[in-house]
Amino acid sequence: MKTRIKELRARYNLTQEQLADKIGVRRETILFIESGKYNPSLKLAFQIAKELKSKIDEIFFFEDEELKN
Amino acid sequence: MKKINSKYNYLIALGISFVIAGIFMIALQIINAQISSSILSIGITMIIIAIFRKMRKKTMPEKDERIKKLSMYGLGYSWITTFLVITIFFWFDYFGFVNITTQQYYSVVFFTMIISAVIFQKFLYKKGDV
Repeated sequence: MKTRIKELRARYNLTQEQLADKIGVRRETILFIESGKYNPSLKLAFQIAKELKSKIDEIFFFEDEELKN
Repeated sequence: MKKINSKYNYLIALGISFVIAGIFMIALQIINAQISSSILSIGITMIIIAIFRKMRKKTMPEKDERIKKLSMYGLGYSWITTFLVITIFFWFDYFGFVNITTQQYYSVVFFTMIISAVIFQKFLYKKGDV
């Protein structure tokens, strides 16, 4: 899964730690989500979207190839 | 974060009460000295663990959904590993390849469960997801 978290964090001038604090998760969790190694739950994805003032599908998306597998 | 701190405060308080109980038991020789010193050791260990965790987790939540998920998977893998080890020992014992006592058998199960759980959990934490 691809994400635009890093880009949106930069837009709102947030560090991984600050975003993690706002959502109530560990910094490593944000790191793994950003790098596409961890797929967050729907609840966490909505929380991230809310903090980054975006829609969920603007932040998280799959490439066509990924959806086929 | 307050919830976590209060949890560790309870653990420290419990540890202190174990230490006090242990000291009293040793001083008054109420029960076996080995049991008294074990209670004292448990109390000291609880206090040390609580203080260390309190210091380390000050700035981050102890568990989030990723940690909970990976912990559960780690325990699941550990259960399967322990089951395999028990099965192997059972058949080895059955065919007489090894001759182990019940106590040794319990020790193997005990250590396999703990060590494999820790290894799997650490591996999954580093990997990021299952």
